[in-house]
Order: sequence, then C-alpha cells, then structure tokens
Amino acid sequence: MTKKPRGPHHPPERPGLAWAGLAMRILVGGVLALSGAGKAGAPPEEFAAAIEAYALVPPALILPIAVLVPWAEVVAGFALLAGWLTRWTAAAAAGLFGVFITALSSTMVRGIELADCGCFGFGFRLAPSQTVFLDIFLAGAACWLFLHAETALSLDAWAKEGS
Amino acid sequence: MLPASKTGRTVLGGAVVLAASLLAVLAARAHYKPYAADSPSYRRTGDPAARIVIVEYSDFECPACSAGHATMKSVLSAYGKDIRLIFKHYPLERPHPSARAAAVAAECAGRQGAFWQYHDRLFERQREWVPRGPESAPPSSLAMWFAKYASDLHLDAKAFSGCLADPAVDAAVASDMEEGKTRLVSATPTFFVAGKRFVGSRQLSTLGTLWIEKKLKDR
Repeated sequence: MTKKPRGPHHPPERPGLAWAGLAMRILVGGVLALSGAGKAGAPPEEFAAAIEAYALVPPALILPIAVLVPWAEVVAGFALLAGWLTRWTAAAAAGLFGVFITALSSTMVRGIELADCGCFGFGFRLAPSQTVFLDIFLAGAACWLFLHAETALSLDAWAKEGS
Repeated sequence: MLPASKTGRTVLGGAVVLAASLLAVLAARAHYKPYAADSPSYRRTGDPAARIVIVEYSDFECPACSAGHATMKSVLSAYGKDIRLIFKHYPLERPHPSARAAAVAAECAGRQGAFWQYHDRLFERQREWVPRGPESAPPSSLAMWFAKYASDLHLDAKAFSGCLADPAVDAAVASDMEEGKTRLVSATPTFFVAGKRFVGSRQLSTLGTLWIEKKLKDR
C-alpha cells in the first residue's frame, strides 16, 4: 500500500487536523512572540531582576539568560506563526514551556513569593499560579504540534512544493 | 525571484522568520525613551558637581525598596562626594495600594524641606504603616501615620494636611510615574547609575558598584 503524497497540491488525509494545527500555531506562536518581544524590547536588567527572584541560577548566568531567553521565545514564536520547521520549533517551544513550568513550580514549592514572574515582559502580569496553568496548556499544544506538524498555510508546505 | 528548491525555500523562510523577530523587538524597543527630567531640589541630594548621578525610581510600600534604601545608604556613604542621588516616585499601585498616598505625603514633607527625613521614616517604619495583606489601609489610619511622622519631624501640621489634598502634588507623583513608564521601569527599585539600569538592591550592590568604580576610573 502506497502512502499519498502531502502538501498544498496533495492535501493532508485529514484537512481538519491541518486547520486545527494552524490554530495551535497561532495560539502558541502568538503567545511566545508577544511575551518574548515584550521582554527582548525591554532592557535586559528588568528580566534579570525577575530571574534573580527565582534563586535558581548562578548570578554570573542571570544577565546572559535574560538576553537569550526572550530572543529564543520571539524566534520560536514567529517560526510557529509562519509554520517554519514546525516540528522542531514546536519541540523547542515545548522545551521552553517545560523550563518555565519547572521554574515557577519550584518557587511555589520553596515558598518564594514572586512579585512578578517576569513571564510576559513589560506591562502585562499574571499571578504565577495562573501562568503555570497557561504554560501547561501551551506546552500540551506545542506537543500536539510536534506530533501533527503538517499544518495549513505554512512555510513548510510551501518549501515542500520545491523541487 | 523566489527559490525553487526545498532547501532554498527553507532558508528563505528562516530569513523571513528572523527578520520578523527583529522587527517585532525593534517595535517593542521604540517605546523606550531614555530621558529623565530633573526632580525638585528637595528630591536631590549630594554634590551638584558629583561625577556619578543616580536616578532612583522607588515605591515606599515595596519591601524590596526598603532593602534598596539600606543599600543606597551604604553606596552614598562609600562614595560620598562622587554621588548625586535624584529620587523619583514610582508607586506600583496594584500590589501596593497605599504607595501613592505615601508618595504624596513624602512630597508634602519635601515642600517643607524634610523630604529625605520623611523618606527615611517611611522606609524604616514600613511595617508600621503598611497594612498586612492585599487590602489598602483605611484612609484614616494612613492619614494618622502620615500626620504622626510629619509631627515627629516638626512639620507644620496645617500646611501638611492642606498639601495632602492638593491635586498639584498628586500630579507631580503622576508625572514621575509617566516618566518611569517611558523609561520602561517595571519593577522597583530601579536605579539608573550614570545612565545604566540596575533593578533591585542586589543588582545595585554587585553590578552597580562595579559600574560606579569603572565610571570613576574612566573620568
């Protein structure tokens, strides 16, 4: 039995899944791009102060992490929005959410009260417990995208059309 | 001309993603305006000719600012004439519902020449006047503490209470807050030491001190 080729000229066997995948990409990618741009656009010392409050990272690493993580979020976010290397960016997004969930949960276990979790950058704040739930949901969505990476209106589909 | 090969299209896609990321961050950065108006003279301390200017955005109700207050005192005593400090009000009203009223009270003390003494008292007695829990203190209780501190410092009680109700005083606090927002201050205390940002007392006492040393050597 031969498998049907897929892509824009050869629609996926279950087109509903491809459109659901697009919705997931917009959701996960949108949150990552917005929160990452908010942090990367702000001076890194702001996010560094938030990271400091978690008491998880050696002081010498705080500022480099405060610079790199927001950029990783922005790039992963836009990659998902555009559907570029969807499987791998979804895996990276799930990894980022996993790190956020672990860090936030550890502060709850250790009884550290965070004034601001530093999750969404300047101007938008959620309580750490609300953020953990949101991150768990988004991590689940990213895992789903990893398993169903063929989505509608994606750069991957356009690249696949190439010779 | 768009590439025809799968690899070419993947590379072009990556370039589009990176360009979009860069544009988004630049758009977010466009809100940042590194500008600070001078504060009234009573909110400045130190030698006007000092080589290092520190602008502090702070909130009297915030526990981290109380810790920052102690750190700032040790920085001022360590560097003496080399430092000039400018204080800016930045009450974070959502987590600290009484902070704006405290800023107004400090401002009123400043208009009677006792800003720094009142400032010290608010930080050092934070546990006394800050209500426990997330609720704001009843206005009568806050007013009582603020009046008591004013009386302790021998301020004119009538002028002080009249000043608390003066909308121009609250407008001065609001103006500092607006300025802080344009400088993307989102946490307190935030210190701009010779233009470089340090958030929290830990950053000030570690990286901030190194920065002060470097600036003093450079000049």
